[in-house]
Amino acid sequence: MNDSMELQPFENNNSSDKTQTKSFAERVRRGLERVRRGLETPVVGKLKLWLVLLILLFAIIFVIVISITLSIVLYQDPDDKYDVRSFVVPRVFSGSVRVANQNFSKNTTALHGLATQLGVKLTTLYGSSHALARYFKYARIKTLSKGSVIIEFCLEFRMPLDSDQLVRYTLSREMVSAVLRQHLYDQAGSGGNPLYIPPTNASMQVGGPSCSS
Amino acid sequence: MVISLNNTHANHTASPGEVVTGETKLIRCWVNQTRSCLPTPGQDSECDNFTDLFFHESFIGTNLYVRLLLYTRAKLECGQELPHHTFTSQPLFNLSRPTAFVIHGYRPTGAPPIWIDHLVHLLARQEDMNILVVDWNRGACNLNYFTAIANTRGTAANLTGFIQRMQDEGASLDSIHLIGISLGAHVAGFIGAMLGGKIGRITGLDPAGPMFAGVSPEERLDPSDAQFVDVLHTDMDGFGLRGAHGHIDFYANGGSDQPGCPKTIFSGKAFFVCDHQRSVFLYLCALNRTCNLTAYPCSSYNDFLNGQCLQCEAFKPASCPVLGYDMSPWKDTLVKLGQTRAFFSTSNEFPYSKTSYRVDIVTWNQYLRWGVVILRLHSGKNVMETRMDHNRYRFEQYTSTRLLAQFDEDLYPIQKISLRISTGNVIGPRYKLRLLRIRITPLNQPERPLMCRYDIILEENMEVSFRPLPCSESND
Repeated sequence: MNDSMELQPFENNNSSDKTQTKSFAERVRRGLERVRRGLETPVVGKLKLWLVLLILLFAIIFVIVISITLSIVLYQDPDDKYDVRSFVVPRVFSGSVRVANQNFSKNTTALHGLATQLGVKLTTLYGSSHALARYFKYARIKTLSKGSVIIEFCLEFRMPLDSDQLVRYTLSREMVSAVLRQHLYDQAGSGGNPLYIPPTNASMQVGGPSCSS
Repeated sequence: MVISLNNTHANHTASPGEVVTGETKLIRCWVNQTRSCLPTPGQDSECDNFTDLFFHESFIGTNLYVRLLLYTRAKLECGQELPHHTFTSQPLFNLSRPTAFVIHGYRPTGAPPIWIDHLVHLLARQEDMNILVVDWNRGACNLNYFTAIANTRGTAANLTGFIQRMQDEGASLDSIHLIGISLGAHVAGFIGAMLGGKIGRITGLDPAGPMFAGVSPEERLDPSDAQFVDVLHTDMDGFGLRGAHGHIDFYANGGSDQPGCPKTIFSGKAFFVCDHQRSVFLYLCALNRTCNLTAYPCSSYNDFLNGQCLQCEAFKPASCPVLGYDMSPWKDTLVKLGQTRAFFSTSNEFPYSKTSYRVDIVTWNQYLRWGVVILRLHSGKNVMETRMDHNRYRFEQYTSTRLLAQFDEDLYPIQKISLRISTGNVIGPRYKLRLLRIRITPLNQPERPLMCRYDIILEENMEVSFRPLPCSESND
């Protein structure tokens, strides 16, 4: 039943195929002509419709491009945002290094000079570390053991109040000492440095409440 | 050692050493054609070689005829056909020694397998034993695969009878090892089942899949067929069989597609057989100890690639299982565990082993970051790169992300490491991954030091290079 009912109009279509195609092409041509005339009509002042549409299109593209660029330029890495004032809890490390192949037993001024150099070096190193710099306060040379070449120093960091994870990872003994050790390793290749410390000659512990005394 | 992939059949037609020992038997030499075919001075008998058939015989069909060719250290270049009943008359067949049976699979072309000589030599190197090459080429050589399948039962019955007679003469089933290739793996399984699973060991090299998929364990190789069953899979989506069939199943590169094998039909025959044949080549390489194919028990290949299965606590103090002849360090644990699936990756050509490292990364970004990691190792002028990009890794603050880095070559010592991260984002800001520590652990050489580096910022698509340093004592 269904089949025959569908077949009927299809056959009809087939019989008047030629005339239909012709009238269809004619209708399309007329339609296009109407659209062309429509586009030529001025809308705002002398501006024709097609020009207005084109301007609108460009405006949309422009807005998209600008917003993407702005979002890239203005993107602030959430990890780069921090408030130093909220870092209040001190975390102190004390460490020591032994300068290799040098004997300063007679020349205390030279040793003092080296100690100052080490202090500067520690400050620059931790002050430029990606993970540690924001918490770093200062480095201080504590004692110079007489007759030896062991320099003891102290590092103070300040952490936010909620610092459990920080103590376990970022400001762990492993991490803080590794940053120094890594630096000494990288320097090991460049010879002729008076302050040459073999990486194995550096040690570090979690220190007391403050570094200032 | 070089594995020749030449079409040996092509050589045969020109073989000068053709020996006709009977009206129907056409035995040809396919190895050392001039040497081993002719009687060597001092030897009273000629060598018996694997049956070589022509393709037209495959077309007509062959009737099952099982031969046993004996090779021992004393006579390695020259096989001796062992009579099924009066084998005690053969002085080289020593029943107090272990015996390995090598059982080939379906042979549609009728040519002898190219790996026989190689396998015999390598087996002889493992242990002083009787190596019996089971030649059921008449039976396996048939264009009709179903006939070949039917013949597996006959072959199994024949060999079972032979083993029972060996037992009567004082041989122990414990010292019998069946090595079955493809269809031969099921033959070995049938023999094992008929002997009540008391055989010492069955090794299945890519057990045949067609017509064996989904059948019950009695109709294929399974762990109950021997005291210990180890299986290697290389072509599960082709001629191999999916699933687990032994106490340990080794899946090379996931068990389906092998690197270096053609991906299109335009490569001809290799397209069909390359993956399947790889199982034999990997086994040969492992016997030769040229390849160190350490496999890691895991639930899936993907989990293995994601570095989730790099420890083998169950096997302590042994390492993770290694593919090869000697499975004694792992056998007892594996039997206790029931069935274990173990995965490894190979490179695309001989020697197939890869060098693997476990990479652990701890980050301190506040928010989750995802990305693929590209790692390069530098040693002198040599550089090896690996892209760990089969999925995007998740980096969570203060959580260790584990990756598996595999390289085709082993570089040592490593002077420099380059690291790059890619998120695949086309537009948008460039993200940074902030690393507290990266730790790289060599897996194949536990004696080598771990390598660490601390406090790194990785900007998306920007390579960062550094010198590795020994890790500090802390381990977490």
